Amino acid sequence: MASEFSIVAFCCEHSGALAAGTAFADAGIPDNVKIVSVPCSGSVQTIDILKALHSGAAGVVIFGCHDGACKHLSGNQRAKKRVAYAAGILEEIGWERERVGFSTIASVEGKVFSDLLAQMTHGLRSLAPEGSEGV
Amino acid sequence: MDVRKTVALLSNPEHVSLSKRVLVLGGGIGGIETALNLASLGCACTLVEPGESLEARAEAMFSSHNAAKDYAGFFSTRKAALFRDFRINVLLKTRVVSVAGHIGDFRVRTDCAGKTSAQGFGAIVVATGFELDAALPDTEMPHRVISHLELEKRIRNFRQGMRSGRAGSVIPKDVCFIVADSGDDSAIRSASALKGALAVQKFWQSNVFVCCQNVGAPREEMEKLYGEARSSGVVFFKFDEERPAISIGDTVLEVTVRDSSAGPDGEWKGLIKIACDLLVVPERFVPRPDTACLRRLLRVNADASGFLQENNVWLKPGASNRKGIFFVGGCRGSLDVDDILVEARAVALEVYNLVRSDEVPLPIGIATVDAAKCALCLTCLRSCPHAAVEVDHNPETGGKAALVVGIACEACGICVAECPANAIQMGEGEHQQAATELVRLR
Amino acid sequence: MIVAERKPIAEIMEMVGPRKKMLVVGCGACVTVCMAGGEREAEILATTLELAFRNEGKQFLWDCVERQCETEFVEPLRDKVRASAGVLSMGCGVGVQTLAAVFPESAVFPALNTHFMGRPVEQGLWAETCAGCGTCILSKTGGICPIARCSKSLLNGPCGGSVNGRCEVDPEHIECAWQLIYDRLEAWDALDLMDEIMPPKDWSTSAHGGVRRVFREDVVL
Repeated sequence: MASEFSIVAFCCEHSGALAAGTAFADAGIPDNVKIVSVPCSGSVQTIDILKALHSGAAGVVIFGCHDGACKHLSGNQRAKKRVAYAAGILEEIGWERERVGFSTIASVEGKVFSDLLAQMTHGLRSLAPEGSEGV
Repeated sequence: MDVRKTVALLSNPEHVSLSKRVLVLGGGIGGIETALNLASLGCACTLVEPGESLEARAEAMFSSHNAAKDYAGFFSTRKAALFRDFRINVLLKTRVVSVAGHIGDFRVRTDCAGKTSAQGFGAIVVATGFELDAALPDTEMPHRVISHLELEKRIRNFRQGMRSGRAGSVIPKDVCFIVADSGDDSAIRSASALKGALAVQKFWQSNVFVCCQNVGAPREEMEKLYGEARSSGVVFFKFDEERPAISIGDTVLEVTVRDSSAGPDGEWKGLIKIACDLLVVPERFVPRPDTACLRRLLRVNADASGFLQENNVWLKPGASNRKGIFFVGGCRGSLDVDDILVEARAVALEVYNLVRSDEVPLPIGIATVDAAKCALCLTCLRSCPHAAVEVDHNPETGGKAALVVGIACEACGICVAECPANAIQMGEGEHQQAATELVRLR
Repeated sequence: MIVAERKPIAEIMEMVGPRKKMLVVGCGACVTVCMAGGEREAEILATTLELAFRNEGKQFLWDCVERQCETEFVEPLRDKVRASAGVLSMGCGVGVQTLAAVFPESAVFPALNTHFMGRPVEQGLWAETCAGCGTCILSKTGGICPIARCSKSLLNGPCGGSVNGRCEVDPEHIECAWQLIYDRLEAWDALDLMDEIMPPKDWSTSAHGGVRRVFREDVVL
């Protein structure tokens, strides 16, 4: 069940997903966030981002490893580029680029994870409601 | 609507057998030690060296840039052991022409004086070493500025001259060393300067001045060297950000250094002017020029300076982006012989662990290409960070298609995401399942 | 291969017009390789258009065929095409017209702009290499085409705008083709080819010469 301003967070299993785990243990994951664990941030496809929005998410974020820390060496760079491509597509149809984002994170940064998601939720609230359902 | 075909996957994991023979590239101390360690662990090795003999590298290695010990004798002993070991096949005057295949089955073609031969190896260790670049500063008195290697040569010639009773060339009265920090090789440059300083004191009895940023004594021998130098009368100046300036005096060079031990107050700002007949500066350590070619042959990555192995926290010291290919020593920027010995042993153990089983199960969840959909655009081949993709003849379709080599695949899914034909699937397609789950978000 | 790019989505949305349901068709050949209209891009476009027209509830189905320029590959789409109000082709101009020819009663629109015949210089960068002039002179120019790669399509050496091997039209992105030709011929020890003056080109075999056909009697059934 999607709540308002739902966010789909694709989390690399070596960083993002672990940070999510830490965040879950500490303060919990807010209701509006769905975590999808992936083997590498570089494995998230553009269509995955678009489908998430199509299914009703207000925003999509990919969490990958910091530069120089990607287990698959260049996966985080691929993810960053793919998010930029998706943001460009959104802009072409009159949606806000800010609905999609990429962030690097380390496995221990549970608080950073929570903060970034809270920031994104806040940002989505202030966007015009034209694009997403559940508003 | 969804035209993705499901690729049938084997439910039982496949096994591949690995060749136990290991290829070692390079006949320097790194290559020699790796081969000897591997042989002692029971792995047959082939050591390939483009030079005529193994002497050529030793000269560059046993310059004064190594720490306090003298390795010349050590190298001879190890070299002799190498040639005696029946488990090690040493190929001189040989270079690698092409490398195909993957871990467990690297198909390598070599050329020796125009004759090519091919052989299969389970793993490859690259120990091709580094080079020294003199990088002397420009002055109007170029004959007064030399590198550490050159200094060593002159002292060696002087000592030979003494022994044979010949008169040597003019001995400098005042010798100045400048050693600036430069990252990984700082300790080596400092050690080299200290050894050089001591040698100059001992044999030429010149006045010796050393301007350095950090003596950088991470090792016992360095502490000892420094102590020896101080007590024998070498004068040390320490500078911080501001590098010493070199200017021309009447007949000699003048080095102006701001010594950081001077207090901030008072008239004396710590500026010292050293008149010297001879200025000695360390060489830069750079990757060998054939490293770029080697990178292409082996499909491995380098760091920003061109030394093999990119900077990534997941890569163990000797590991490359490809399973089964390792780096030892100077080619990856390790310059201290003691470090290289440790690396050689560590990498030998890694390789041994890899190739010792008769069979290895394929990883689960690896990517598979649907050959019928593959447009042969080569994107997956280019994008795979582990070089696990080849183009091969596909028996099902009768044509060529991209092929993910199971044993080299690390199941990252990057190729799946890059494929413009949606022709690659990972494992059982759990990833696609995760995506379709999202449809139920509404 | 043929290199194309997706049209701006705003332009594609205009083509949709009042239609409520359309079929996006990708092609598994050239446009897959240049990442413009393969299966992946077809799905992306269909999903994007549904996002864009969400409030109006328009439907965009998608499919992909092996090669959009062949009748046999396109024919199986017939039912889907009939069930849609129009087709957005992600093939090159040839694919669009094949769809239009096989389904003349349907409205077929181009979702791509077809650019040129070229090759990948590196992943993500495709450069024009062949202009399809119909009278190939590559044997005289060391395998480098001045028609396609010289900004002025000159036939007899560089112009004054060649500086440091770059073309003055866009020095950052365009190499001087004649510099490349010279270097190549020098490497072949064939610089005497540079001395041969090429006469004014017969453009009648190129696109300028009118509609072109190739006919092979020996393979006609």
